[in-house]
Amino acid sequence: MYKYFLKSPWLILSFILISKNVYTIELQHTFDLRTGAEINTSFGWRLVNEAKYELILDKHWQLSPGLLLAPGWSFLSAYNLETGYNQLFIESLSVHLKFLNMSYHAVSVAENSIIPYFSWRSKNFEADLGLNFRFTNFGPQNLDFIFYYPKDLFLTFFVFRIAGYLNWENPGIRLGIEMKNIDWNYAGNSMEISFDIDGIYQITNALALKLNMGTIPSGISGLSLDFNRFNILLGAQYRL
Amino acid sequence: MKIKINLFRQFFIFSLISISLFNCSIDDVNRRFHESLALPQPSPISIVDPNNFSFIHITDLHVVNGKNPHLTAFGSRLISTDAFIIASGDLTDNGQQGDFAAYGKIMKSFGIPYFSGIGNHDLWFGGWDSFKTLVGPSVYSTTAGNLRIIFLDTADDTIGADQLQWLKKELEQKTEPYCIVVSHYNFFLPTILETAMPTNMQEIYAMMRLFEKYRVDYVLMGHSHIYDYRKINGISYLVDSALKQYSANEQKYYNRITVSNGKMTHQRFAIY
Repeated sequence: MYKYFLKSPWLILSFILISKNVYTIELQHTFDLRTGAEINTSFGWRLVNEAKYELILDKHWQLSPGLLLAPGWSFLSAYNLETGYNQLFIESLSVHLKFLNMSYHAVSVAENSIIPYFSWRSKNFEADLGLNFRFTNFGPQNLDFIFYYPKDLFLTFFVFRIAGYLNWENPGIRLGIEMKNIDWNYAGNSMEISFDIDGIYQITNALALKLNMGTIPSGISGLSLDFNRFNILLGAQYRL
Repeated sequence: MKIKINLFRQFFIFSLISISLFNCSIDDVNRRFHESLALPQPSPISIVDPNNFSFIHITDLHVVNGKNPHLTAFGSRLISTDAFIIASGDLTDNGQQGDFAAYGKIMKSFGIPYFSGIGNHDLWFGGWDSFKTLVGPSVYSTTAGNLRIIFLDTADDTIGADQLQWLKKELEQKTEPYCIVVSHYNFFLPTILETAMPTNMQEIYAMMRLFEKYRVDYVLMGHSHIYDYRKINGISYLVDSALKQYSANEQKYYNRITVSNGKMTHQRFAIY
């Protein structure tokens, strides 16, 4: 039975997912799910469903895949593979490398991004800053292959997220505002900035409810604004 | 419920509100689109030899205080085959009525037809009212000989659902062998340090696919003030540098697009 276990990758994976320790390595698992809707001024509305799993080994090494499925006016699917190292030199600082694939199925175009970035996490302030090396694939082949890097269109952007959170009398509530052009499974253009309200309610040590509501105006770089998108996402997080 | 807000967070919130307020225009592209369709449309122009002619693309003129010496100087560079001029937005620096009037006067002095697009600066401080009165519609489709010219309103960096449907219909119905589309906003980022680029690539990809399907030859753009040329899936995406005056002694450029022997090509020229 022991030999069968070693030969079965699904069993190994399941074991790791529910384990808090493998040998002497401490494992921390976090599962995130969220669902909601996005309204786009040019295309109408669509559902947004996202999932993220994060594994942290020994408080430092991070591995987190994610998935987005957004059916609606234009089916957008995205997935990412991210790795990182937390508590780099100091507790608040970490470094990450994200590989992201975003497929716009209605127009048969995909974007494959390589995103190295730094993160800062403190009690009331969070920030991400990095670069997005983006390769656009005009298909039709390899639209869903995350490591396909054609030369048709290659652009480089800054990606960022800054968020500030208020202190509440109830420590289980975390509510703040954020500005970002990057998310779990999405990396937008430089000035594709989402202005969000971000909230978390910690029900227990392990379980939290989440709310994220934001608007993305167009025309920021030209100081001539118009409404572009609005989205609202509700979710839950479970931590082992 | 007590809320403790420290100085840092106060500054952060203040910055966010300031950014939101510090915008020179908050407008609605759908409203402009429908108003444009109700305005008199630019007339088609005839071309002596519709298979051999040229036209000029200039952009980001930023006429201010009634003048732009580079625009005035550019007029001397026109040649006999230049059938018309296309100006792809930011005609004025801040949407002032007097500057729109001055722009029209300078362009008329060149003696050949011209077509104008709208840019973000033209919307500033309520500039749309002056634009539609003194320049014309921001969205239109017309012809010059064998060439279909489609002007899009991307002045606030989105085209909106109605304009996208209109663009698709115009491209479906065109019969001319040549076609150009004019947009103020550039589609692609020229350099990493540049912020002038579209908000949402989904709109851009939808338009690019339409251009491929209906065989658009050139997409003429501005906004970034940086020359950029790319050919993607057979479509030429051309951004010209700005004619805006920054200093007294500076070089400025324009593009001459030539239709000849069944092909459309461009060449960049210096004004001075």
